[in-house]
Amino acid sequence: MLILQNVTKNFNRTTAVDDLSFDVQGGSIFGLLGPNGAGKTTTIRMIMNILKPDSGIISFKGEPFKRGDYHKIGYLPEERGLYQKMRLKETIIYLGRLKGLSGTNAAQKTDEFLERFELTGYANRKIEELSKGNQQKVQFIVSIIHDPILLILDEPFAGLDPVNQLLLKEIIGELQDRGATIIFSTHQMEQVEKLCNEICLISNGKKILYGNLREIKKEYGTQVVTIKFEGEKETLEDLKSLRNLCLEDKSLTGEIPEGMLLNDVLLEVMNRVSVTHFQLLEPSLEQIFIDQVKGGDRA
Amino acid sequence: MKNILTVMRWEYLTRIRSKWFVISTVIIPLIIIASMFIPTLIMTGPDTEAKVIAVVDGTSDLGNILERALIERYKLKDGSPKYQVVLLQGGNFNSLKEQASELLDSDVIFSYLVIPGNVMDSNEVRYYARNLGNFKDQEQINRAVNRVISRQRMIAANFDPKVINFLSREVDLKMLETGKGGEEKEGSEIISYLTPIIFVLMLFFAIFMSSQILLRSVIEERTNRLLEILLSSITPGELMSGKIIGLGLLGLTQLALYLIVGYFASSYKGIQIVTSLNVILFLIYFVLGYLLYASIFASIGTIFNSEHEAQQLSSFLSIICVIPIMLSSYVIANPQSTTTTILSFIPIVTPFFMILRIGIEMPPLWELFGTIGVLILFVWLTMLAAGKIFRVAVLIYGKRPTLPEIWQWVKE
Repeated sequence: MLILQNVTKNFNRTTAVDDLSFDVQGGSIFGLLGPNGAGKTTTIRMIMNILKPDSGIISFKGEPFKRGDYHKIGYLPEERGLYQKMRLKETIIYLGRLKGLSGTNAAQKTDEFLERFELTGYANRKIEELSKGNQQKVQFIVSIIHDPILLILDEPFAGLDPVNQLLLKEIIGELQDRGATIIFSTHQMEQVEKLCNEICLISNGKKILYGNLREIKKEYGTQVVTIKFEGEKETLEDLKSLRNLCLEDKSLTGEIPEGMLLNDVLLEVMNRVSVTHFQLLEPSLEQIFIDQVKGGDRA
Repeated sequence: MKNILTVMRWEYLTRIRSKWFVISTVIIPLIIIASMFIPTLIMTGPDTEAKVIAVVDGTSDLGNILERALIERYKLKDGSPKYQVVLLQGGNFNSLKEQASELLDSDVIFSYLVIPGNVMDSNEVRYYARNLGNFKDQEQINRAVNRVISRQRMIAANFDPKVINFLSREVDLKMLETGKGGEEKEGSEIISYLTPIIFVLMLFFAIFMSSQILLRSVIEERTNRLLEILLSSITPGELMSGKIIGLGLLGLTQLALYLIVGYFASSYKGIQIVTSLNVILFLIYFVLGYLLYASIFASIGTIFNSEHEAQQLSSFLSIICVIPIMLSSYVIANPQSTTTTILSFIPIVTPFFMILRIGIEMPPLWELFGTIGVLILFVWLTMLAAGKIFRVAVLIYGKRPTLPEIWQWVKE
């Protein structure tokens, strides 16, 4: 659907995006992750043709972007803003028309979405009279009103209450069911874990991790084990086979270092106490993220 | 093209119903025109109440004759005399003067005249008033006094009363203005003086209102990050063209309203100040002037992050544009001078100056073509520069570019 090849962008003397390549499969939910200032927004702006890359190729459906292609893409920028003095409904219609909708079509869709987002009562209010959360809903409507086949969402959940986050997820799900591709840019890992199939993690403009989320977890995740036991907890204090050991009265949690097997850990623990229960925990993406970003900084 | 039209329509329709447009279209020009006209109207307009004038008469008969002359000659609209004369005569001349001065202080009288006994030789009459701003009254009293005294001198010289009447007959001086073809048209001096200035003010308002709105709208979209949404739908060129055309039409709407009002106002007064050629030239200079200022203001809008910052620069620009208005009295007095011609070729004042000059006297053809040519060239250059600045500056947030950086963008 969308392919970036060796894309680089410099601002003055700093490199915002450095030789970045990734491939977003059609119909997938793709997470573009990275800490603040990693180059996520710059990358998105280049995809949206707001900025021109210094080098590299961005292609859409196998070809460079053509003029009409942007009418098939929806974009929710990270920093939100609308015409404060204008009325809600007419603003959405205007922005919908700029995305290629006809006047009547835009008006009809606006009514539908306003109802869905429970904003019908505000249709003729000025945008500045709306609450922040409601303004954000309006912004989201603007990004999907033209039924995009590719939707780019930059930090979409920031500032939304749980009810509306749910509504947003519901609609994203619907769009995906209809075959739309979605790119998420965020640093909120829990959201990504629940929604995305593929991720690309960037830091300082460089790609650090890229691929299927499950495979990445398998490959990079440190394994965490929880063991319940009977016996003296003091005897476990100098346990060598676990890192970041967290010891309680009847249980312990710790990371299994690279090169060590679960069996080794269990053997060492069983030598000192009697194990009643053990469980391997799935690594969190957040931990991978932190490890990788820190690792990238050290390198 | 469809996108340009959509943007244009949006900019035009959302602005035309704004309070700002109504205020700047109706109220501001009204205030300006009122502030120019009301003082002259007060000075020259017909009086409705008689004015009481005291005459301290040191002679035996001049006061009476002057009283008759004033009462017969100057009438109010309803036919009653415009001046009521209080004669102070007989008794001590100095105490009479003091009496008159007291009457003036207590506002019983409007003014007073002091005619000394030896006026025929000293040739001096004094006129006292609270203020000397009312030229019309002074002129009338001056004429009446002169007429009466010269008539008395002729009587003293034993002229035949018939001869005196014949000699002292007043000439009615009619004010006429000639057009190019030698045709005559009757006009009031004040109106022909003010008309070009009013035209320039209208142009000034139309241009500044639309360019200021453009500036605001660019800054709003920039600070709101709306630009990202807009530019993810349409190209920067389409956005800018749509805006400039839409807001230009807004200015034209305003101008059209002014012209219609001007046309009716002037034909009501019986003067033709709005000719079709004037209108065409007016529109040409308006469009070029607007495009020039629009591109300058749009660039300012893209460079600055807040309206507050941009306002300082734009108010500086407004001051530059007030210069032609300040210089207008010079141009009106010397529409053909070399200085005027040279000034007319400075692009940022060309539209104002040329409108001013066309209102007074049609400039030579070569100057019309010349200034329009220079203006077109300059408009083209500024729009080119504005486009470049816009494209680069649009997404540089949080930091204002330096002048050398801007120059770099323009050169690229």
